[in-house]
Amino acid sequence: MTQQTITPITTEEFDFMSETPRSLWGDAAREFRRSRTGMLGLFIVILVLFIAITAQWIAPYDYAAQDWLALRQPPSVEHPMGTDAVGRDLFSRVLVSIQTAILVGIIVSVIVGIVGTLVGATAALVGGIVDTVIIWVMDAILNFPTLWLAAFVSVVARPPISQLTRSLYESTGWEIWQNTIVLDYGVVFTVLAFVSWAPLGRLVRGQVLSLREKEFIEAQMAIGASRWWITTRHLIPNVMGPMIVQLSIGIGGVMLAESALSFLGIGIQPPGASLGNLIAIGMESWRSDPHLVAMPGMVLAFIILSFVFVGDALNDALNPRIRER
Amino acid sequence: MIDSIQTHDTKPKPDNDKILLKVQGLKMHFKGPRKSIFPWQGNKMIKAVDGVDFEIKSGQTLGLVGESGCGKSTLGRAVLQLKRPTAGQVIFEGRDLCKLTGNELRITRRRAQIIFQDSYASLDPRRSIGYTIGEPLLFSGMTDAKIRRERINELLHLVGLNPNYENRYPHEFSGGQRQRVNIARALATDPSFIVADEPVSALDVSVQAQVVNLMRSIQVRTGIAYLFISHDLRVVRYISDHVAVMYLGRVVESAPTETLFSNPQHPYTQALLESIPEPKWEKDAKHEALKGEIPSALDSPTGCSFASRCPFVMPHCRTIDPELTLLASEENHHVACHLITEPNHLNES
Amino acid sequence: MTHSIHASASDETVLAIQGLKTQFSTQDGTVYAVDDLSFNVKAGEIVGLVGESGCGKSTVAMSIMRLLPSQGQIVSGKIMVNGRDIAPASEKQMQGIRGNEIAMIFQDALSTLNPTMKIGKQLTQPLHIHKKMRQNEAREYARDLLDRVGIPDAKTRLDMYPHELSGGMRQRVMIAMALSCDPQLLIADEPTTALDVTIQRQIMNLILRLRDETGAGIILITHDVGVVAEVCDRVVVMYAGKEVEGGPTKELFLNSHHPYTLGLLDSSLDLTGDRNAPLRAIPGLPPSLNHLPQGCRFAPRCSYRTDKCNEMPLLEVVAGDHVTACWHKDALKKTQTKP
Repeated sequence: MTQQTITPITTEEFDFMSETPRSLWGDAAREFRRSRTGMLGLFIVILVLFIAITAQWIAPYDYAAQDWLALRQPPSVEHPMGTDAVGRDLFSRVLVSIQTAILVGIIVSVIVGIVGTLVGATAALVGGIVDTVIIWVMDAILNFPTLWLAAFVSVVARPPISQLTRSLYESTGWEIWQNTIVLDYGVVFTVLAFVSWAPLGRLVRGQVLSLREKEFIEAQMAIGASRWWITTRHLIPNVMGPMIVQLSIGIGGVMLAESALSFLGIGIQPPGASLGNLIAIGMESWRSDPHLVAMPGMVLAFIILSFVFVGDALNDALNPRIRER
Repeated sequence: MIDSIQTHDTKPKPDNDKILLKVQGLKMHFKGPRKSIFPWQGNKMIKAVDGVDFEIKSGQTLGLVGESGCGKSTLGRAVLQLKRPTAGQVIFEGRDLCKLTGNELRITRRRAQIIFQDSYASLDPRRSIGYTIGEPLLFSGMTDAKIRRERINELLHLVGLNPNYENRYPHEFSGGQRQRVNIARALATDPSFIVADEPVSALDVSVQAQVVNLMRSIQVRTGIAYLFISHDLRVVRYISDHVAVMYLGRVVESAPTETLFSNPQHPYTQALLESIPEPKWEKDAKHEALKGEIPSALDSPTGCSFASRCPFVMPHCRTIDPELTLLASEENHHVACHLITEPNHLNES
Repeated sequence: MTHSIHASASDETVLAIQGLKTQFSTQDGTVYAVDDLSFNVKAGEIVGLVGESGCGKSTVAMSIMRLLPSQGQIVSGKIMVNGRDIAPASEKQMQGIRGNEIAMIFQDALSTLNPTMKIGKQLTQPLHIHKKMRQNEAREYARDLLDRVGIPDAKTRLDMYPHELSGGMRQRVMIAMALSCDPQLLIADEPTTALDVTIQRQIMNLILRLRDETGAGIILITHDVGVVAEVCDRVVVMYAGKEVEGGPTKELFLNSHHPYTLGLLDSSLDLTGDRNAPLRAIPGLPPSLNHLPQGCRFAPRCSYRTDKCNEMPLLEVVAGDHVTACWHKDALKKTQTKP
């Protein structure tokens, strides 16, 4: 027999755990901070959000105010982005349009998030014929050219939504339902949500399918959790990571799509503000006043790029890594 | 973390011979690929578990050993109804689990828990271990957070983890520590039976010993019974009272541990023991290897499933399936082998 | 194709590692996965590299083969293969060495073999590259190789894909590939860990037989003490990147002089020990390479530790080839505790 006895040693003696618990979200935040593009993107996103909220107040001129003494001015100190054919300050118009872009981006993303998760999770958990049908629907949506589909849906959706706003006006009497801008928004939300939910649905379905096989879900069954509990407490939270990444990169796509629709005349129309229709108006005189196209275009590009940077950095940060000892 | 709890060396003999779990005729058959391109000819069946019987008494451990494809993991899950068996009975504390459904099953199942091989995949990576250990308590109706907290602390202490770590996340721990967390969770509802599916296989050697010691001491303290599933006979020997050896979905031999290791009867058991590398220096150690490969569970041949590799195979073995029979000479030692039970066939050409 | 039958260990040194240091840059700083390691392998000898996860044994193999990931780098030391130091060799030179003079087999054959390429093609590739064989000749040779490693029906197997074979078969194919160019050194990284017990025994016997037939030197990396006892001629025990003990297998098992080795042997389960006694475990956990203790790395878990252990112990001779790094080596009594 060896001489040694087994002395109990408490972990305090060689404690190499960090000072505070490191949750996966905390770890992710730390990783995110390391990414320079991510932080830059985040900075711009926060700036953009700030503008979206305060546009009305910080814009130097009114969105529709026409200054006949300053027609078609190139960028200057008084008009940082110049003016258009009827003397409206482009900078102010861009600021207000950002509001639209963000509003559409966020609301559509929320709708897509909810719908995509519900449908995707249902497909994965119920399985069988339900799953087959849902995949079929998602594939159908994904196979159509996006813009074509969006145009089609917007044309098709306009009458019923118009009907809806009319009846809402009749029942509540609020002036707001009469505003064409509200109608435009309604159509745009519907169209974009319809076109964008399928990729997220696919993602959620895939994630749930793979998570379902993991032992910690089996363990949940063993301890007596109901399917609802497992789904809401364990499956969905673990799907959040990839979902957030998809949504943040997707926001850029949504904003671009909204601009495209507005540019084509089937999205937000004047007097509504949108970078898309600013570009459309600017196109009429792009040779003589290129700033009218370039400015809104560049702003749009920057905003989308920032969201993409953020989404990319989130992607790198959110993969749970096991630190083995 | 306090390792090697030194207060117990030997397991006392259980004073009640109560049979806690009785499994009879358990089968798990899966549909495999089609027999031919014509769908009406049906599918080949994968007989993962093909008629298994065993009993476990309170406070005892049954070790289930076998190599890949023998069906032991499937069996473990089938016993707990995590995957419903195709046929058979699982009588646990007097009730047949196979016949229970829904809420009844959920409630009865609290008394029977499971521990998996992959300690990381068994835990929700986004929840603290305190939450994970406490969750089963929520289902048993322990809604008072304070009482739950106390019980969680108690459990952490029982498995040798510092209770201060309850707010930590699974990825902050080592494999052995995570396995302790899994054990704590399994113990939360005060079960009388735990299925342990390869609980130490993924751990380092020195940590394996820690976890096995822990499981043994818990058994002494609480009288819990284990179904210990493993491919490693060395580990099984130290924790089991009784061992069953599986091959291709059937039990080929079962005996009290001492007996199995000192007097193995089935050629497969003998080959298994011969194949295990022993951590002892031996001059010119030479060990015969069993020839052949483990056949696929898809094309189960008629007759004894081991016939293709058995060094003592007789023609009779290829046609008739051997039954698990009690050896007359020993206590509770069963073998399924024609050579042992019907040696007269040896003379057939 | 000639097989040279060698006696178990000739005097020719196939591999001599001196002072190898391999570092990894991690998020938390630079760590030395291998810290000043030296050992030799002779022709026909099987040297076991034993330790638990994180001790650096796989990194040693990767360093020799120069297959380290981008964060890894050999910092210093010599790797002498047949008298030449390959540590400073260029990538192009290494390509000529890998598969040729030094070959490696891995733990999981399924992920190491190309799943989209037939076995035959994978086997003939090193033959084309290193031995400049033509197609027909290479195919014949490959078939012979499969025979040698005990794969029945070799001709048909050549046209199969890896997933069509069982685990044991795949491992044999990997061994065949490794041996195809008659390497002088074979590195086997946990070759049997992922296999079933009965197949494990088959592969172990195969490795022994091939060692006898080819006279190659073999480094066997494993955490299984039983495999080491039965297969290895000499052993190097690693802990947290350093060698803590090394010597002939018999010496290490019967006359170990390091608390970690003793602990490892004690906690290794066998088939004959006292079933009722509590299992002896090494308390605590291996250290994280970012937070190494001052001095002996095993000290925090060691029951023999004293203040002297704050100073890094050096490898000292116990008897003949047997070395150990422990200040208290004289106080340790002999082992083989299992009755």
